[in-house]
Amino acid sequence: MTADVNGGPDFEGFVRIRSDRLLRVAFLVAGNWDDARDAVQDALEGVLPRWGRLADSDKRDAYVRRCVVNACLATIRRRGRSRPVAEPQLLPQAKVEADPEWAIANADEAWRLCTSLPATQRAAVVLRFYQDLSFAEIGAALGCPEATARSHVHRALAALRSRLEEGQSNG
Amino acid sequence: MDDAERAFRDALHRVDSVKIPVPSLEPAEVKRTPGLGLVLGRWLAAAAVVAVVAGLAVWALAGRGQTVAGVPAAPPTAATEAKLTGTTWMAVELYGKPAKIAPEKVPFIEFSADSTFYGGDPCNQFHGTYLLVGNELTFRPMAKTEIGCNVTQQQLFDKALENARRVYRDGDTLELLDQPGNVLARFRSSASYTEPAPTPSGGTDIPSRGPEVTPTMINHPAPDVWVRIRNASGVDFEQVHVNFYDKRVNYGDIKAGAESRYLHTLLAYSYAFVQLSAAGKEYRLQPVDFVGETELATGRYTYVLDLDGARISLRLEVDK
Repeated sequence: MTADVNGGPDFEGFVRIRSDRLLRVAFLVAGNWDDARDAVQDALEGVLPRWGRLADSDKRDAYVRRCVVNACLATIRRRGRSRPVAEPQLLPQAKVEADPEWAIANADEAWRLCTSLPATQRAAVVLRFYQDLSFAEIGAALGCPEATARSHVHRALAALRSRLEEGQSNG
Repeated sequence: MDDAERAFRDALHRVDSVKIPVPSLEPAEVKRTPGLGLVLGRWLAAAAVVAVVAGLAVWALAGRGQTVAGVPAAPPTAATEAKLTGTTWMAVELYGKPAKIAPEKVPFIEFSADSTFYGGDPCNQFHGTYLLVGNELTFRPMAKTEIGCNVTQQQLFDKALENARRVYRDGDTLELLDQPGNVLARFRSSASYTEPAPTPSGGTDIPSRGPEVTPTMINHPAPDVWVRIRNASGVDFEQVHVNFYDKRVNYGDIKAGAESRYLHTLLAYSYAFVQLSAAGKEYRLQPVDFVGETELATGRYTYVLDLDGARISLRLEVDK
Protein backbone atom coordinates (compact mmCIF):
# COMPACT_ATOMS: atom_id res chain seq x y z
CA MET A 1 0.00 0.00 0.00
CA THR A 2 1.17 3.51 -0.65
CA ALA A 3 0.70 6.51 1.59
CA ASP A 4 -0.49 9.97 0.74
CA VAL A 5 1.28 13.15 1.75
CA ASN A 6 -0.50 13.09 5.10
CA GLY A 7 0.83 9.66 6.01
CA GLY A 8 -2.54 7.91 5.73
CA PRO A 9 -3.47 5.37 3.12
CA ASP A 10 -3.95 6.78 -0.32
CA PHE A 11 -7.33 6.51 -1.93
CA GLU A 12 -6.62 3.19 -3.60
CA GLY A 13 -5.39 1.70 -0.34
CA PHE A 14 -8.41 3.02 1.47
CA VAL A 15 -10.77 1.42 -1.05
CA ARG A 16 -8.97 -1.92 -0.80
CA ILE A 17 -8.97 -1.94 2.99
CA ARG A 18 -12.37 -0.50 3.71
CA SER A 19 -14.66 -1.40 0.84
CA ASP A 20 -15.74 -4.76 2.28
CA ARG A 21 -16.73 -3.21 5.57
CA LEU A 22 -18.48 -0.32 3.83
CA LEU A 23 -20.34 -2.79 1.63
CA ARG A 24 -21.63 -4.67 4.67
CA VAL A 25 -22.82 -1.46 6.29
CA ALA A 26 -24.48 -0.40 3.04
CA PHE A 27 -26.15 -3.80 2.71
CA LEU A 28 -27.63 -3.51 6.18
CA VAL A 29 -29.01 -0.06 5.39
CA ALA A 30 -30.00 -0.51 1.74
CA GLY A 31 -31.28 -4.06 2.12
CA ASN A 32 -29.63 -5.75 -0.83
CA TRP A 33 -26.14 -6.19 -2.20
CA ASP A 34 -26.72 -4.56 -5.58
CA ASP A 35 -27.88 -1.31 -4.07
CA ALA A 36 -25.17 -1.56 -1.44
CA ARG A 37 -22.49 -1.80 -4.09
CA ASP A 38 -23.92 1.09 -6.09
CA ALA A 39 -24.20 3.19 -2.95
CA VAL A 40 -20.59 2.57 -1.91
CA GLN A 41 -19.37 3.24 -5.42
CA ASP A 42 -21.39 6.46 -5.66
CA ALA A 43 -20.15 7.56 -2.26
CA LEU A 44 -16.51 6.87 -3.06
CA GLU A 45 -16.81 8.66 -6.38
CA GLY A 46 -18.06 11.65 -4.45
CA VAL A 47 -15.24 11.40 -1.92
CA LEU A 48 -12.43 11.06 -4.44
CA PRO A 49 -12.23 14.73 -5.53
CA ARG A 50 -12.03 15.78 -1.87
CA TRP A 51 -9.59 13.09 -0.78
CA GLY A 52 -6.60 15.37 -0.56
CA ARG A 53 -8.39 17.64 1.86
CA LEU A 54 -9.42 14.80 4.19
CA ALA A 55 -6.21 14.67 6.21
CA ASP A 56 -7.60 13.64 9.60
CA SER A 57 -8.30 9.90 9.43
CA ASP A 58 -11.16 10.06 11.97
CA LYS A 59 -12.86 12.84 10.05
CA ARG A 60 -12.20 11.04 6.82
CA ASP A 61 -13.86 7.85 8.08
CA ALA A 62 -16.82 9.81 9.40
CA TYR A 63 -17.17 11.67 6.12
CA VAL A 64 -17.04 8.50 4.02
CA ARG A 65 -19.52 6.83 6.36
CA ARG A 66 -21.91 9.74 6.00
CA CYS A 67 -21.61 9.64 2.22
CA VAL A 68 -22.29 5.89 2.15
CA VAL A 69 -25.33 6.14 4.41
CA ASN A 70 -26.74 9.04 2.44
CA ALA A 71 -26.15 7.23 -0.84
CA CYS A 72 -28.04 4.24 0.60
CA LEU A 73 -30.96 6.41 1.70
CA ALA A 74 -31.04 8.12 -1.69
CA THR A 75 -31.02 4.72 -3.38
CA ILE A 76 -33.91 3.50 -1.25
CA ARG A 77 -35.96 6.57 -2.10
CA ARG A 78 -35.02 6.49 -5.74
CA ARG A 79 -35.58 2.89 -6.59
CA GLY A 80 -38.52 1.80 -4.50
CA ARG A 81 -38.91 -1.93 -4.34
CA SER A 82 -39.54 -3.01 -7.87
CA ARG A 83 -37.08 -4.49 -10.30
CA PRO A 84 -37.94 -3.74 -13.90
CA VAL A 85 -38.59 -6.50 -16.39
CA ALA A 86 -38.15 -5.54 -20.00
CA GLU A 87 -40.75 -7.81 -21.58
CA PRO A 88 -44.06 -8.89 -20.05
CA GLN A 89 -43.51 -12.49 -21.12
CA LEU A 90 -40.31 -12.58 -19.05
CA LEU A 91 -42.13 -11.65 -15.86
CA PRO A 92 -42.93 -15.17 -14.62
CA GLN A 93 -39.26 -16.11 -14.86
CA ALA A 94 -37.96 -13.00 -13.14
CA LYS A 95 -36.17 -13.79 -9.94
CA VAL A 96 -37.56 -12.01 -6.93
CA GLU A 97 -36.45 -14.16 -4.05
CA ALA A 98 -32.77 -14.62 -4.82
CA ASP A 99 -31.77 -11.98 -2.37
CA PRO A 100 -29.57 -12.79 0.59
CA GLU A 101 -31.65 -10.41 2.63
CA TRP A 102 -34.55 -12.75 2.21
CA ALA A 103 -32.45 -15.66 3.37
CA ILE A 104 -31.49 -13.82 6.49
CA ALA A 105 -34.99 -12.50 7.05
CA ASN A 106 -36.30 -15.62 8.66
CA ALA A 107 -33.42 -15.83 11.07
CA ASP A 108 -34.78 -13.81 13.91
CA GLU A 109 -37.19 -11.19 15.04
CA ALA A 110 -34.59 -8.45 15.34
CA TRP A 111 -33.59 -8.74 11.71
CA ARG A 112 -37.22 -8.97 10.68
CA LEU A 113 -37.94 -5.74 12.53
CA CYS A 114 -34.83 -4.11 11.16
CA THR A 115 -35.92 -4.68 7.58
CA SER A 116 -39.30 -3.11 8.24
CA LEU A 117 -37.99 0.04 9.91
CA PRO A 118 -38.15 3.37 8.08
CA ALA A 119 -34.92 3.91 6.20
CA THR A 120 -33.43 6.56 8.47
CA GLN A 121 -34.31 4.66 11.63
CA ARG A 122 -32.78 1.54 10.17
CA ALA A 123 -29.61 3.40 9.30
CA ALA A 124 -29.41 4.66 12.87
CA VAL A 125 -29.78 1.12 14.21
CA VAL A 126 -27.06 -0.17 11.88
CA LEU A 127 -24.67 2.59 12.88
CA ARG A 128 -25.39 2.01 16.57
CA PHE A 129 -25.35 -1.77 16.79
CA TYR A 130 -23.18 -2.77 13.86
CA GLN A 131 -20.74 0.12 13.74
CA ASP A 132 -20.88 0.78 17.51
CA LEU A 133 -21.05 4.52 17.00
CA SER A 134 -22.01 7.05 19.63
CA PHE A 135 -25.23 8.97 19.20
CA ALA A 136 -23.22 12.06 18.32
CA GLU A 137 -21.44 10.13 15.55
CA ILE A 138 -24.75 8.72 14.31
CA GLY A 139 -26.18 12.24 14.23
CA ALA A 140 -23.19 13.38 12.20
CA ALA A 141 -23.60 10.48 9.76
CA LEU A 142 -27.31 11.10 9.29
CA GLY A 143 -27.06 14.86 9.28
CA CYS A 144 -29.39 15.24 12.25
CA PRO A 145 -29.05 16.36 15.87
CA GLU A 146 -27.73 13.87 18.41
CA ALA A 147 -31.12 13.84 20.13
CA THR A 148 -32.83 12.80 16.90
CA ALA A 149 -30.32 9.99 16.41
CA ARG A 150 -30.99 8.85 19.96
CA SER A 151 -34.72 8.98 19.31
CA HIS A 152 -34.41 6.85 16.13
CA VAL A 153 -32.55 4.13 18.03
CA HIS A 154 -34.81 4.23 21.07
CA ARG A 155 -37.94 3.90 18.95
CA ALA A 156 -36.52 0.87 17.20
CA LEU A 157 -35.52 -0.67 20.54
CA ALA A 158 -38.98 -0.02 21.97
CA ALA A 159 -40.56 -1.74 18.98
CA LEU A 160 -38.28 -4.74 19.35
CA ARG A 161 -38.86 -5.01 23.12
CA SER A 162 -42.58 -4.98 22.48
CA ARG A 163 -42.24 -7.77 19.91
CA LEU A 164 -40.04 -9.83 22.19
CA GLU A 165 -42.50 -9.46 25.06
CA GLU A 166 -45.32 -10.41 22.70
CA GLY A 167 -43.39 -13.48 21.65
CA GLN A 168 -42.74 -14.50 25.25
CA SER A 169 -46.37 -14.04 26.27
CA ASN A 170 -47.53 -16.07 23.25
CA GLY A 171 -45.02 -18.77 23.67
CA MET B 1 -27.02 -4.06 27.38
CA ASP B 2 -30.50 -5.58 27.43
CA ASP B 3 -32.01 -8.35 25.32
CA ALA B 4 -33.27 -6.00 22.61
CA GLU B 5 -29.90 -4.31 22.15
CA ARG B 6 -28.16 -7.67 22.12
CA ALA B 7 -30.67 -9.01 19.59
CA PHE B 8 -30.06 -6.11 17.23
CA ARG B 9 -26.32 -6.51 17.58
CA ASP B 10 -26.43 -10.27 16.96
CA ALA B 11 -28.81 -9.97 14.03
CA LEU B 12 -26.76 -7.29 12.31
CA HIS B 13 -23.41 -8.98 12.87
CA ARG B 14 -24.67 -12.07 11.08
CA VAL B 15 -23.75 -10.19 7.94
CA ASP B 16 -20.09 -10.59 8.91
CA SER B 17 -20.31 -14.30 8.19
CA VAL B 18 -21.89 -13.83 4.77
CA LYS B 19 -19.57 -13.88 1.82
CA ILE B 20 -20.24 -10.70 -0.10
CA PRO B 21 -21.97 -11.83 -3.29
CA VAL B 22 -20.99 -8.87 -5.44
CA PRO B 23 -17.63 -8.18 -7.03
CA SER B 24 -15.11 -6.32 -4.89
CA LEU B 25 -14.88 -2.63 -5.56
CA GLU B 26 -11.68 -1.90 -7.38
CA PRO B 27 -10.13 1.54 -6.95
CA ALA B 28 -9.87 1.88 -10.71
CA GLU B 29 -13.57 1.24 -11.02
CA VAL B 30 -14.36 4.01 -8.57
CA LYS B 31 -12.09 6.40 -10.39
CA ARG B 32 -13.44 5.90 -13.85
CA THR B 33 -16.48 7.70 -15.19
CA PRO B 34 -19.60 5.87 -14.06
CA GLY B 35 -22.11 4.68 -16.58
CA LEU B 36 -21.56 1.54 -18.58
CA GLY B 37 -19.35 0.05 -15.93
CA LEU B 38 -21.98 0.53 -13.28
CA VAL B 39 -24.49 -1.30 -15.44
CA LEU B 40 -21.96 -4.03 -16.10
CA GLY B 41 -21.25 -4.18 -12.40
CA ARG B 42 -24.92 -4.78 -11.76
CA TRP B 43 -24.98 -7.66 -14.20
CA LEU B 44 -21.90 -9.17 -12.62
CA ALA B 45 -23.44 -8.66 -9.23
CA ALA B 46 -26.63 -10.38 -10.31
CA ALA B 47 -24.64 -13.31 -11.60
CA ALA B 48 -22.72 -13.49 -8.36
CA VAL B 49 -25.92 -13.43 -6.34
CA VAL B 50 -27.26 -16.37 -8.30
CA ALA B 51 -24.00 -18.21 -7.74
CA VAL B 52 -24.04 -17.88 -3.99
CA VAL B 53 -27.72 -17.99 -3.26
CA ALA B 54 -27.74 -21.75 -2.89
CA GLY B 55 -25.10 -21.56 -0.21
CA LEU B 56 -26.93 -18.80 1.59
CA ALA B 57 -30.16 -20.74 1.49
CA VAL B 58 -28.45 -23.65 3.18
CA TRP B 59 -27.05 -21.27 5.76
CA ALA B 60 -30.48 -19.75 6.34
CA LEU B 61 -32.24 -23.08 6.60
CA ALA B 62 -29.64 -24.34 9.02
CA GLY B 63 -30.37 -21.36 11.24
CA ARG B 64 -34.14 -21.58 11.01
CA GLY B 65 -35.78 -22.54 14.24
CA GLN B 66 -32.75 -21.65 16.31
CA THR B 67 -32.74 -18.71 18.61
CA VAL B 68 -30.37 -15.82 18.81
CA ALA B 69 -29.51 -15.00 22.40
CA GLY B 70 -32.70 -13.80 23.99
CA VAL B 71 -34.62 -13.79 20.73
CA PRO B 72 -37.34 -16.32 20.04
CA ALA B 73 -37.26 -18.00 16.66
CA ALA B 74 -39.49 -16.40 14.06
CA PRO B 75 -43.00 -17.76 14.41
CA PRO B 76 -44.12 -20.05 11.60
CA THR B 77 -45.96 -18.13 8.93
CA ALA B 78 -47.62 -20.90 6.95
CA ALA B 79 -50.88 -20.65 8.86
CA THR B 80 -51.23 -16.92 8.42
CA GLU B 81 -50.15 -16.95 4.79
CA ALA B 82 -53.08 -19.17 3.91
CA LYS B 83 -55.49 -16.52 5.10
CA LEU B 84 -54.86 -14.16 2.21
CA THR B 85 -54.84 -16.83 -0.41
CA GLY B 86 -57.50 -18.36 -2.59
CA THR B 87 -59.03 -15.20 -3.98
CA THR B 88 -58.24 -12.38 -6.34
CA TRP B 89 -58.40 -9.01 -4.65
CA MET B 90 -59.70 -6.17 -6.85
CA ALA B 91 -58.84 -2.59 -5.88
CA VAL B 92 -61.81 -0.35 -5.17
CA GLU B 93 -59.95 2.55 -3.56
CA LEU B 94 -56.40 3.84 -3.77
CA TYR B 95 -55.37 6.50 -1.28
CA GLY B 96 -58.99 7.29 -0.58
CA LYS B 97 -59.89 7.77 -4.23
CA PRO B 98 -62.14 5.36 -6.12
CA ALA B 99 -60.25 3.16 -8.52
CA LYS B 100 -62.27 4.37 -11.51
CA ILE B 101 -61.03 2.13 -14.21
CA ALA B 102 -62.66 -0.10 -16.77
CA PRO B 103 -63.53 -3.44 -15.13
CA GLU B 104 -60.99 -5.38 -17.13
CA LYS B 105 -58.26 -3.04 -15.96
CA VAL B 106 -58.89 -2.93 -12.25
CA PRO B 107 -55.69 -3.20 -10.24
CA PHE B 108 -55.64 -6.58 -8.55
CA ILE B 109 -53.46 -8.76 -6.41
CA GLU B 110 -53.35 -12.45 -5.60
CA PHE B 111 -51.47 -14.07 -2.74
CA SER B 112 -50.11 -17.61 -2.88
CA ALA B 113 -49.41 -19.92 0.00
CA ASP B 114 -45.73 -20.06 -0.92
CA SER B 115 -45.30 -16.38 0.09
CA THR B 116 -45.42 -15.10 -3.46
CA PHE B 117 -47.90 -12.66 -4.90
CA TYR B 118 -48.97 -11.75 -8.38
CA GLY B 119 -50.82 -8.68 -9.52
CA GLY B 120 -51.47 -6.08 -12.14
CA ASP B 121 -52.46 -2.48 -12.56
CA PRO B 122 -53.96 -0.84 -15.62
CA CYS B 123 -50.67 -1.15 -17.49
CA ASN B 124 -48.31 -3.55 -15.84
CA GLN B 125 -47.99 -6.94 -14.25
CA PHE B 126 -45.79 -7.77 -11.33
CA HIS B 127 -44.91 -10.57 -8.98
CA GLY B 128 -42.82 -10.89 -5.89
CA THR B 129 -42.64 -12.28 -2.40
CA TYR B 130 -44.28 -11.10 0.77
CA LEU B 131 -43.81 -11.58 4.46
CA LEU B 132 -46.89 -11.84 6.66
CA VAL B 133 -46.68 -12.18 10.42
CA GLY B 134 -50.03 -11.77 12.11
CA ASN B 135 -51.41 -8.78 10.28
CA GLU B 136 -48.02 -7.21 9.62
CA LEU B 137 -47.32 -7.35 5.93
CA THR B 138 -44.23 -6.47 3.96
CA PHE B 139 -43.94 -6.75 0.22
CA ARG B 140 -40.43 -7.75 -0.72
CA PRO B 141 -38.61 -6.67 -3.90
CA MET B 142 -40.77 -7.42 -6.87
CA ALA B 143 -40.30 -7.82 -10.57
CA LYS B 144 -42.60 -5.84 -12.81
CA THR B 145 -43.06 -4.72 -16.34
CA GLU B 146 -42.63 -1.02 -16.95
CA ILE B 147 -45.24 0.23 -19.36
CA GLY B 148 -46.55 3.72 -18.78
CA CYS B 149 -50.22 4.53 -19.44
CA ASN B 150 -52.61 5.42 -16.64
CA VAL B 151 -49.84 7.01 -14.68
CA THR B 152 -51.76 8.17 -11.65
CA GLN B 153 -53.51 4.88 -10.91
CA GLN B 154 -50.36 2.95 -11.63
CA GLN B 155 -48.27 5.06 -9.31
CA LEU B 156 -50.83 5.08 -6.53
CA PHE B 157 -51.01 1.30 -6.65
CA ASP B 158 -47.21 1.00 -6.65
CA LYS B 159 -46.96 3.38 -3.76
CA ALA B 160 -49.63 1.54 -1.79
CA LEU B 161 -47.75 -1.74 -2.13
CA GLU B 162 -44.49 -0.08 -1.25
CA ASN B 163 -45.78 1.62 1.88
CA ALA B 164 -48.01 -1.20 3.10
CA ARG B 165 -47.09 -2.45 6.54
CA ARG B 166 -50.31 -4.06 7.70
CA VAL B 167 -53.25 -5.86 6.20
CA TYR B 168 -56.77 -6.36 7.52
CA ARG B 169 -59.38 -8.64 6.09
CA ASP B 170 -63.04 -8.38 6.88
CA GLY B 171 -64.73 -11.06 4.86
CA ASP B 172 -64.64 -9.94 1.25
CA THR B 173 -62.85 -6.69 1.99
CA LEU B 174 -59.10 -6.35 2.30
CA GLU B 175 -57.28 -3.21 3.38
CA LEU B 176 -53.62 -2.32 3.15
CA LEU B 177 -52.45 0.17 5.75
CA ASP B 178 -49.24 2.04 6.33
CA GLN B 179 -47.36 2.13 9.64
CA PRO B 180 -49.49 4.89 11.23
CA GLY B 181 -52.69 3.12 10.19
CA ASN B 182 -53.78 5.10 7.15
CA VAL B 183 -55.67 3.05 4.60
CA LEU B 184 -53.62 2.98 1.42
CA ALA B 185 -55.74 0.64 -0.65
CA ARG B 186 -59.02 -1.14 -0.23
CA PHE B 187 -59.86 -4.30 -2.18
CA ARG B 188 -62.86 -6.51 -2.66
CA SER B 189 -62.70 -10.16 -3.52
CA SER B 190 -63.35 -10.87 -7.17
CA ALA B 191 -66.49 -12.77 -6.22
CA SER B 192 -68.06 -9.72 -4.64
CA TYR B 193 -66.57 -7.10 -6.93
CA THR B 194 -69.03 -7.24 -9.82
CA GLU B 195 -72.06 -7.09 -7.56
CA PRO B 196 -71.45 -4.80 -4.62
CA ALA B 197 -71.75 -7.38 -2.00
CA PRO B 198 -73.52 -7.42 1.31
CA THR B 199 -71.10 -7.28 4.16
CA PRO B 200 -70.08 -10.82 4.76
CA SER B 201 -70.02 -12.19 8.22
CA GLY B 202 -67.52 -14.39 9.95
CA GLY B 203 -65.12 -16.76 8.32
CA THR B 204 -62.11 -14.52 8.50
CA ASP B 205 -58.74 -15.51 9.79
CA ILE B 206 -57.00 -12.18 9.39
CA PRO B 207 -57.29 -10.17 12.59
CA SER B 208 -60.13 -7.72 12.27
CA ARG B 209 -59.58 -4.20 13.44
CA GLY B 210 -62.63 -4.66 15.64
CA PRO B 211 -65.39 -2.24 16.44
CA GLU B 212 -63.25 -0.04 18.60
CA VAL B 213 -61.22 1.17 15.63
CA THR B 214 -62.81 3.56 13.19
CA PRO B 215 -61.85 2.84 9.60
CA THR B 216 -59.26 5.40 8.62
CA MET B 217 -59.56 7.18 5.34
CA ILE B 218 -56.46 8.99 4.32
CA ASN B 219 -57.16 12.70 4.16
CA HIS B 220 -54.01 13.69 2.39
CA PRO B 221 -53.86 11.99 -0.98
CA ALA B 222 -50.49 11.70 -2.62
CA PRO B 223 -49.32 15.01 -4.10
CA ASP B 224 -49.89 15.62 -7.77
CA VAL B 225 -46.50 16.83 -8.99
CA TRP B 226 -45.62 17.73 -12.57
CA VAL B 227 -42.02 18.42 -13.47
CA ARG B 228 -40.49 19.60 -16.72
CA ILE B 229 -36.86 20.18 -17.69
CA ARG B 230 -35.37 23.37 -19.12
CA ASN B 231 -32.03 23.14 -20.86
CA ALA B 232 -30.34 26.36 -19.79
CA SER B 233 -27.02 25.41 -21.35
CA GLY B 234 -25.72 26.27 -24.78
CA VAL B 235 -25.60 22.67 -26.00
CA ASP B 236 -28.30 20.18 -26.88
CA PHE B 237 -29.12 17.52 -24.29
CA GLU B 238 -29.78 13.94 -25.35
CA GLN B 239 -31.66 11.30 -23.40
CA VAL B 240 -32.30 13.25 -20.23
CA HIS B 241 -33.23 10.83 -17.43
CA VAL B 242 -34.44 11.91 -14.01
CA ASN B 243 -34.88 9.53 -11.11
CA PHE B 244 -37.78 10.51 -8.94
CA TYR B 245 -38.67 8.69 -5.77
CA ASP B 246 -40.79 6.09 -7.46
CA LYS B 247 -39.56 5.85 -11.00
CA ARG B 248 -36.99 6.78 -13.60
CA VAL B 249 -38.34 9.16 -16.23
CA ASN B 250 -36.92 9.69 -19.69
CA TYR B 251 -37.50 13.24 -20.89
CA GLY B 252 -35.83 12.47 -24.20
CA ASP B 253 -33.76 15.02 -26.10
CA ILE B 254 -33.99 18.70 -25.15
CA LYS B 255 -32.44 21.34 -27.39
CA ALA B 256 -30.34 24.18 -25.95
CA GLY B 257 -32.66 26.74 -24.42
CA ALA B 258 -35.73 24.51 -24.85
CA GLU B 259 -38.08 22.94 -22.36
CA SER B 260 -39.56 19.48 -22.15
CA ARG B 261 -43.21 18.80 -21.52
CA TYR B 262 -44.40 18.32 -17.96
CA LEU B 263 -44.35 14.74 -16.74
CA HIS B 264 -46.14 13.45 -13.69
CA THR B 265 -44.69 11.99 -10.51
CA LEU B 266 -46.00 11.38 -7.02
CA LEU B 267 -42.96 12.40 -5.09
CA ALA B 268 -40.17 14.79 -5.98
CA TYR B 269 -37.66 16.95 -4.21
CA SER B 270 -35.96 20.23 -5.03
CA TYR B 271 -33.24 18.20 -6.70
CA ALA B 272 -32.86 14.73 -8.14
CA PHE B 273 -30.56 12.26 -9.78
CA VAL B 274 -30.10 13.35 -13.40
CA GLN B 275 -28.32 11.62 -16.25
CA LEU B 276 -27.88 13.00 -19.77
CA SER B 277 -25.60 13.15 -22.76
CA ALA B 278 -24.32 16.33 -24.37
CA ALA B 279 -21.78 16.78 -27.14
CA GLY B 280 -20.90 13.10 -26.96
CA LYS B 281 -20.20 13.11 -23.23
CA GLU B 282 -22.12 11.48 -20.43
CA TYR B 283 -23.07 13.65 -17.44
CA ARG B 284 -24.56 12.62 -14.15
CA LEU B 285 -25.84 14.61 -11.18
CA GLN B 286 -25.73 12.43 -8.08
CA PRO B 287 -27.38 13.95 -5.01
CA VAL B 288 -25.61 12.82 -1.87
CA ASP B 289 -28.03 13.84 0.80
CA PHE B 290 -31.83 13.84 0.80
CA VAL B 291 -32.04 13.76 4.59
CA GLY B 292 -34.30 16.53 5.85
CA GLU B 293 -35.53 17.39 2.39
CA THR B 294 -39.17 18.36 2.05
CA GLU B 295 -41.28 16.73 -0.63
CA LEU B 296 -42.59 19.07 -3.31
CA ALA B 297 -46.26 19.90 -2.83
CA THR B 298 -48.89 19.48 -5.53
CA GLY B 299 -48.05 21.77 -8.43
CA ARG B 300 -45.93 22.33 -11.51
CA TYR B 301 -42.17 22.73 -11.36
CA THR B 302 -39.23 23.20 -13.67
CA TYR B 303 -35.80 21.67 -13.13
CA VAL B 304 -33.45 24.14 -14.78
CA LEU B 305 -30.38 22.20 -15.89
CA ASP B 306 -27.12 23.79 -16.89
CA LEU B 307 -23.62 22.53 -17.51
CA ASP B 308 -20.85 23.96 -15.40
CA GLY B 309 -17.69 22.48 -16.85
CA ALA B 310 -17.97 18.75 -16.28
CA ARG B 311 -20.88 19.04 -13.88
CA ILE B 312 -24.62 19.41 -14.16
CA SER B 313 -26.28 22.06 -12.02
CA LEU B 314 -29.95 21.90 -11.13
CA ARG B 315 -32.11 24.80 -10.00
CA LEU B 316 -35.77 24.43 -9.07
CA GLU B 317 -38.39 26.85 -10.34
CA VAL B 318 -41.95 26.79 -9.06
CA ASP B 319 -44.34 27.33 -11.94
CA LYS B 320 -47.83 28.69 -11.82
